[in-house]
Amino acid sequence: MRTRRHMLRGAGAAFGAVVLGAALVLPGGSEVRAAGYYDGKDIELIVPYSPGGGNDTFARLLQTQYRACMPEAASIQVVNIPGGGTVMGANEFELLREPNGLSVLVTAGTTSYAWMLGQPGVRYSPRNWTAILGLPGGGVVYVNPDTGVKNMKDLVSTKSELVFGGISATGLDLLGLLTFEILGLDTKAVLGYEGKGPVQIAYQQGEINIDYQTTPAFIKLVRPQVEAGTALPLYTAGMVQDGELVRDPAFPDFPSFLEAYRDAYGKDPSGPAWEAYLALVSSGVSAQRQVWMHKNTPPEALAAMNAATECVIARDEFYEKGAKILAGYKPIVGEPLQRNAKAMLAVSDDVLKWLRRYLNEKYDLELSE
Amino acid sequence: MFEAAAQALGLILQLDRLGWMVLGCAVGLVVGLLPGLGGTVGMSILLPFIFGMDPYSGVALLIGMAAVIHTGDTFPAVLIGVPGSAGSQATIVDGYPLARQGKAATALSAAFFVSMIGGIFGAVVLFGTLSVARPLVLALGSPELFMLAIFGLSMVGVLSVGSPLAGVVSGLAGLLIGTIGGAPGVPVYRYTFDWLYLFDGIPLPVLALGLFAVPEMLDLLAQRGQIAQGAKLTGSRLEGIREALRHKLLILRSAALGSALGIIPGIGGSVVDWIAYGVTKQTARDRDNFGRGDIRGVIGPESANNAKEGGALVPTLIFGIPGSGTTAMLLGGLVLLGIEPGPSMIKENLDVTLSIVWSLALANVFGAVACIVCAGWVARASVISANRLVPFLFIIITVAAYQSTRNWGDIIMLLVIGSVGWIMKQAAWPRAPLLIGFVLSLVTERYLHLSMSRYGLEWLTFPGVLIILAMIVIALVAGLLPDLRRRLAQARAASEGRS
Amino acid sequence: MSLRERLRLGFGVFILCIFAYAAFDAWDFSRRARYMPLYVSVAGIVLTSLLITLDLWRMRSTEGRAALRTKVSIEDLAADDLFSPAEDRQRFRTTAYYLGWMAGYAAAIGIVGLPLASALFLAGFLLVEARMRLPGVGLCVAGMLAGMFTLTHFMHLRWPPNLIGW
Repeated sequence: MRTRRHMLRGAGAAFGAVVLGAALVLPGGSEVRAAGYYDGKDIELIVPYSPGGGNDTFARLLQTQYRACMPEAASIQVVNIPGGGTVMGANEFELLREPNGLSVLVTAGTTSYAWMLGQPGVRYSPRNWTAILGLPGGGVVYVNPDTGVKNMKDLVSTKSELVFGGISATGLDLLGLLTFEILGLDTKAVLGYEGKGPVQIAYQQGEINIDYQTTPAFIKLVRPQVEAGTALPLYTAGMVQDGELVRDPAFPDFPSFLEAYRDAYGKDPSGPAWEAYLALVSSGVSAQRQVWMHKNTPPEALAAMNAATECVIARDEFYEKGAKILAGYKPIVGEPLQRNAKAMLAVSDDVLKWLRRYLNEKYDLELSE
Repeated sequence: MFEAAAQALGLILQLDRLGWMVLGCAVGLVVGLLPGLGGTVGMSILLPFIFGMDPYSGVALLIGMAAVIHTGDTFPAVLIGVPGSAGSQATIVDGYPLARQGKAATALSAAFFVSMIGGIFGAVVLFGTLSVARPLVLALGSPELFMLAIFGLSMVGVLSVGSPLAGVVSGLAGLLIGTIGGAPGVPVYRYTFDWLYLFDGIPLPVLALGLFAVPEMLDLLAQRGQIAQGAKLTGSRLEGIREALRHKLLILRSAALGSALGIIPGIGGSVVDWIAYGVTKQTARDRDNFGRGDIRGVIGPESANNAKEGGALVPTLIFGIPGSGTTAMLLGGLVLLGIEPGPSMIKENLDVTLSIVWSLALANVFGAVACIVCAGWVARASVISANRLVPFLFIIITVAAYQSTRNWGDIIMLLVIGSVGWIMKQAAWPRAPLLIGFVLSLVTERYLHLSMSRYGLEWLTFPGVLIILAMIVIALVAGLLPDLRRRLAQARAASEGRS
Repeated sequence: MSLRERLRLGFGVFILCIFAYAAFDAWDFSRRARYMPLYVSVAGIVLTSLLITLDLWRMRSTEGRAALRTKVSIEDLAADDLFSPAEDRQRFRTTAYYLGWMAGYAAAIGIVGLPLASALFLAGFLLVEARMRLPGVGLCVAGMLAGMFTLTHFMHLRWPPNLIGW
């Protein structure tokens, strides 16, 4: 009686174990999976933004795609930890999450910048992280033709007042501001707008006349104005590839900043501002949105995650569903990503010091130098 | 345009889409009903559904929630005197006294009824202004927005009748507390004492709950009473609707004001109901009862703050700039649905836009009806004795406060601000102006800085600025005049009596 | 001077100190971040001093003191019940007691976690203060916990971290 039930239960368990074992060992599905590190585990994608923002949308796209590529995981959740720019979420990832591969951080350019510029409150460092996935995100500098500027030579010699609108000097607008500095322009920077959307409205109102907008916003809001003749694109921020600034793949017809500078002055830019600019482009443009894990995550977890990532970026659905978010950029993984991350982390201390001093002097900030 | 509208209605009036709308409404009602929770919580519930949904269903779901939050949050405003999500703040001034008089059902149903009308009005405004919206929004530059913020601040005077000076000081305190945390545009963190929690400033729900809910609960407990003094419910839902119908002009006027203010990005959302309250009071013939349970003090703001959502959708859809807190959440959801706000909303995506309009109208009706149906028995909560009701409330409030930043600081600040709020209440220091000052602090500073940075002092001479300045002066004078007249009459009577 | 009047003046002085400290601190901010807090604080110092002076002036006469307890909209629901000073003192003591309950609840959350602390708080309060009977209390606590778990799940609410780790 008891013995028979025991035997039956034992047989059933053994049978189940065999089936389970077979299911694990035998290849299943078309997705490549490393030996189940994530079996039955919960993964969280930490987004240092409130729900609904651009980065959040990207994370949610990833969530759906990773879920398809990692069916063995029990769940993949997006966890929003907004606050302090992107500082709070990144801090929490760094300080309060175990390096067990179950937490993944999705950052935007401002996260890296806040660290590079030594913003108060930053308790994290990308030096402790490994990059898993990167999505480039560039932008375009454009000017109002009412200023009389028709090309780069005009730009550097114009007598009209150039007024730039931005959110802050420590975010993505820094790219635009640095290009002006390198070009030797005397632009008036009006900073403090709530977002680049209000900046675009200010441009249409005539409150500002030169602006830097990221690719999706440029395509959506500025392109119609370019066609109507009320906006003139000058150059893209460009992308860093093997130490060189090349054109932005989303705008193959627009000159990169490097080419624009050459147009204006007939030579190549140099100096600390240029070095700083290259550093900022590597960390905030070539891979604007990045996905990170802790550096000392167990290698099996890293391998599993990398394999899943390869799967994700091979899926058609990733590009279909994410058409608007990806804005035509291709995600980078593997070697190019690691090279880019290294470039970002290898920024020389001198360049950082120059950058902080420049910001402190010109924009009256109080970054520690 | 009208055929397109009829088509869009057909798209919405399908069973599964209506079902999504009802779900959105349900979420919005619960979020609004529970004090301290706001649109973010609602969004986090709906977001998992949205990704990959077809745009019309997704719109029905999202708009269902957004439209109804401002209807549902009248419950805590009237019953406990707590401002719900940022919208229902002004309703507490007259709604709560009504509840204390046992007239919770009247206040609630009047509020819901006018919310419905206001919401529909807002949807109509949205429909009507879509094509002309661009020049409207473009007319308001940084200097004009700054003046509008000042206009909002000037309402402080209206709210502190007995003690205008204390009101102004409260408002200044609110402005100051609003500067805690990051400065707009510069990475400078003010008054944070190195406590990471304060880097983003004090969260609005924590401040509102601390200032209003905690003192109220403490006082109710100390008095061993219940919300409705006398533990009797008078008034009824029917009476509420009847009262509302007696003030048809007020409803429409407030709705117009609300939707107009809602169109203004950044400013409108935060203080629409205070401005509506102020204007209602100042244009009323006999104002003595305001602040003590005048139903008009409920009708005005409630109509306006539902109408404002329609207005707020204008900059949201046409420019991608959220006009209020709820529309900020909405924007994110729309992007997830693949809807890109921008000029395409009136061209290729007109059908989506029109389904938004319809969803807004329908959701408002549904939400209001659902609320009126529940108002009867929810109003009975006002006769439960405090020492049974308050512990439940406090648990809800604590959990809600914690959701603001998910940090222990939320709970600590809740208690600290609660104590301060209680002292203010006992000392007859007005708290509403502090809330107004706090809400407008960042916006005021931002636009002042942008104006000065861009134009030096030149902006003081801009026509838009001068017009708004004139409006402010007129509003202030209209507010203070009857008071002055009364004081002069009193003084004259006193001197005549003596002689 | 009644307790309330002392409270009013005391609060005024407290606010004055806050403004003064804020103005002082604002001096150290960078130029752009300085303007708003500085001007607001200075205006605050001026007006609060004015207010305290006016209050003191009014308190010299009995009509003045009555006028001080003027209705200030929702504030008046406290001033409405014109308690005698002794009643006031009793009420303030009671309030401190209830505040203690609230603080105790918060502390309990930190020690034993949200659900247990809420159950203890609710049960304790209902038993001690509302003098409810055990079965009723049990029902309320069960209902509260059911609501808490349901809403937490559906609304993705987060619970404060605590020492035990629940």
